[in-house]
Amino acid sequence: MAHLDAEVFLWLNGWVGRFAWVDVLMRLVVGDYLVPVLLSLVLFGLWFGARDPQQRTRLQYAVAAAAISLALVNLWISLINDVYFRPRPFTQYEVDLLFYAPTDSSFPANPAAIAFAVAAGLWGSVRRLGGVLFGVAALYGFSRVYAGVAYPLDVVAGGLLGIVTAYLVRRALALLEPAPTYCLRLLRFLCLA
Amino acid sequence: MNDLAREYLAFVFLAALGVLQAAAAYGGLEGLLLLPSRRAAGLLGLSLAVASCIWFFARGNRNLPDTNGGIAGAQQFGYFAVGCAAAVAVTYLLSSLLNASRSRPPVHPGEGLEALAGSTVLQALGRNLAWSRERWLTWMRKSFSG
Repeated sequence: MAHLDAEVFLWLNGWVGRFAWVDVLMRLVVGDYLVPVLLSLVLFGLWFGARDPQQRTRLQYAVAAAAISLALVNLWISLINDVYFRPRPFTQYEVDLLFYAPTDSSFPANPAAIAFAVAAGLWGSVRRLGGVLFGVAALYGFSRVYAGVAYPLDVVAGGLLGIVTAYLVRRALALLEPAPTYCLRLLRFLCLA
Repeated sequence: MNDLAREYLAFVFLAALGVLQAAAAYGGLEGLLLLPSRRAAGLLGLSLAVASCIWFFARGNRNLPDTNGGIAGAQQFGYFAVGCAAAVAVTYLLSSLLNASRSRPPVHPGEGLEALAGSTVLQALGRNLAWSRERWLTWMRKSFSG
């Protein structure tokens, strides 16, 4: 499995330098800012942008699920990294690096986990947008492999972790009723929801 | 706070301000708009969000490790939260001042953002506080009389 993972990684990273525009795009996408800020701004916009009270409530539950998933997935990854460390591919192979060399564990890929957690958190309520964000998350994960900082398996594991976390958070929110409704009511009183 | 952090904070603040205007225009929350027309406010919001994004990413290489001028993950989250909170606070305050004269009378207390379709944040908050005070006084009267 690890051998296959490395083979796929080397094949994908081997495309670096062949098409200059792809490299420029990947350099932009792989960064720490573009996709995380874009996803967070989507959540921020959805919180305020609804046309009727029913839609607003549905969107705000979805945003809450995505935001809680995002926080939890970071916690899971921090716990996993405490017990398991996988070296980055550029420390083991000759790699064309399009990004700086991170020093933390490669497995599971944190960027993929957060992006998939947000997409999956919204997917239950906002199908079309959730689908678009799954595409963005997949591109973000791909860019990590292409840029030479993560193995494909790291991205897949991160993505699965994000999706499972979002699913559990949505279930937990439903089980915790009426607490989420009371929180929303308090925020409504303050004109924040 | 280094240069990148300052620029990141400014970027998030401006982008969040823009997104909030676009979302308010889309949702018909006229009490939150900074321009008289919904369409103009929506366009302003989108332009602000896109322009701030271009400004931030065109200023130089942003792929820096946190050990060499970059921003650590937790700090990034903190700056994002501060930028968004500042955008909400500025929008709430400015829109309350700008729209004070053209707001319609309140509808129902405690309805949250829906109230901002016809009134400003300060008006809606004042109404909510008055309503809860009234309810509290009624409850006290009931509980402690005779």
